[in-house]
Amino acid sequence: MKPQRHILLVDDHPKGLEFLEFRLQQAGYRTSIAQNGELGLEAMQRDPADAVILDVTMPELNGFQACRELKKLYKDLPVIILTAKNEPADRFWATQCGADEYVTKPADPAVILQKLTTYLG
Amino acid sequence: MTSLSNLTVIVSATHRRLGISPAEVLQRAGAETRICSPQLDLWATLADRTVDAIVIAVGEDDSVPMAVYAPLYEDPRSKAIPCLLLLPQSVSLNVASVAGFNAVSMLPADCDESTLLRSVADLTAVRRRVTEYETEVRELTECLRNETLRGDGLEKKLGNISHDLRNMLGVAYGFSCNLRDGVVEPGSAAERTHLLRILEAIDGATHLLDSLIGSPSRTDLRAVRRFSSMRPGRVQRTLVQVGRLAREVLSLLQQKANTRDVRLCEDIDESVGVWADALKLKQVVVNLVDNAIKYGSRGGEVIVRVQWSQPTAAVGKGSRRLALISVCDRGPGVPEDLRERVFERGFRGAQEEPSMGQGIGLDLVREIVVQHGGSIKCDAAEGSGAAFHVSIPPDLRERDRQGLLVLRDGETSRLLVNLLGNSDNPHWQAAAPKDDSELAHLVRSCAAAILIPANCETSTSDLLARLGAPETRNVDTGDSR
Repeated sequence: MKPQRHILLVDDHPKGLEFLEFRLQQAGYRTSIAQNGELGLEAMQRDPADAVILDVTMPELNGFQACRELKKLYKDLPVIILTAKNEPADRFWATQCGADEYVTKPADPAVILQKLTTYLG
Repeated sequence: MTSLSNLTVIVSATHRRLGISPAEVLQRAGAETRICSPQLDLWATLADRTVDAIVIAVGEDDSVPMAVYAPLYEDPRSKAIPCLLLLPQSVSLNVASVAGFNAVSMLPADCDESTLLRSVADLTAVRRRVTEYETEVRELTECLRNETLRGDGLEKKLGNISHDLRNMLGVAYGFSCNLRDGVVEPGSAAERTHLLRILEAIDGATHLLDSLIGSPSRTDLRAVRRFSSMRPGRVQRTLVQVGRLAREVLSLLQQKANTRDVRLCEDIDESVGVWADALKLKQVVVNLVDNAIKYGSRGGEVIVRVQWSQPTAAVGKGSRRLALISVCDRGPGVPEDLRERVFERGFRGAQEEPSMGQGIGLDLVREIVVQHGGSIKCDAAEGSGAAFHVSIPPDLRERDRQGLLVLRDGETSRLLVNLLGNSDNPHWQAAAPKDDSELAHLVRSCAAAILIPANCETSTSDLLARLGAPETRNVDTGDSR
């Protein structure tokens, strides 16, 4: 039996990700939520995820900073930035911090699922 | 002629008298004159006071080379000070050596008094103009800088609004995608959550937009300030046809009703219209109908009635007709002792399955109804089942403060006056009439009145809680302790 993949969602307003959490669970993923970048890093140590979906605007450690830290620690971990920020500069920073994907809100959960599938099979 | 009275002129002491004494001439003309030697610390003099002009009378024997003054004109501070050089015929001056001075003028050392005075006056006039320009430029720069900062602030604010809107749309879009892709079981609690989240997100986004577009000027910075102080969930009223709204809700929930074989019935008076927040009112009806489908008996019916209330009195608050929305089901009903408690946040029925809800719906419903100056109650439907009755005054525009709180002297009363005065309570106002005739006048002019005697011992929080329900009237303070 295929092991259940674990997706960590990091957003300071988790309510905004309820739809995605629901969709991921429907698709057979296990999900967990952290409310900022720092807590996301802690969560990864406690319960490593197979992929991380990161918001950008968060207190303590923002999404870009968290992404950089995550990539230092887990080089091959797929990181998807999911944000309402859609300036070219934001995309630039996302690539600079090693994010694998950059998805802007409003986002179609089917698209996110598809992207996860390309990384996780 | 330009006055010289406010001038400070430095006259070099090395100047050997050559026809006129510049210091004496300028002093006679009213200028405050200070004589200093280049060997002395000229800077001390300059730093010490505001110097309007410098007159340098160069010695005939050229004993003071211009180099002595070099520090003076190399310093940026002195460049703004106009300088007049009085030169003896014998001294040939390299113009380049004084190029650093500002507004340099040169006169022969033996010029007459009037020429000297006119030159100094011209120089100081130039100086004043320069100062004025400098001030103007400084003010303009400051102004531009402020505008830019304010512009940046506005841009940042709009950026935040855009960010918030995207987040709200993201929620509505994400949940809609789930419904579109058929991953949510029709009629399930999850479907209801999806619908409610979508409505909430649209509601939030609408308020956000209204807060900007509804302002007098879209470019007005005040609009942004208003936005920043905007409270979430504020009621945005428009004229709502309640019947139409109820039908929309019924059609929205038809599919869910089908899954439980529930028949949705309506009894609608088309003339019922209220001045209300359409989205919030829709949330109220969605919640009530959804609950009725969920908790009513399978295969039963849910009846939604929209009608006007019958006036209960010829005058006063009872004379006003209210919009009534009733939602009845044919389920087991709500036990009498729980009919108030069902509106409490987190309340769940004993038989309720965990999947049936979070116990937040009715609390929210009541909050919205109260925001509209209305009330909600739960009782038994005819026959069997539960009935929820919402009554909303049709129009709060004209008289937002419908109720009158009449206070007699006393500590509690004073506290209440302060609290009501500061709380922006939309339904009640406080007044302390001077005598009985004023009291009678006040009571006649309002929809309902609460009379509080001076010795009232009801707690302030109890009274304020009662004030939240506008239909409360004639509180008997003696019994309400």
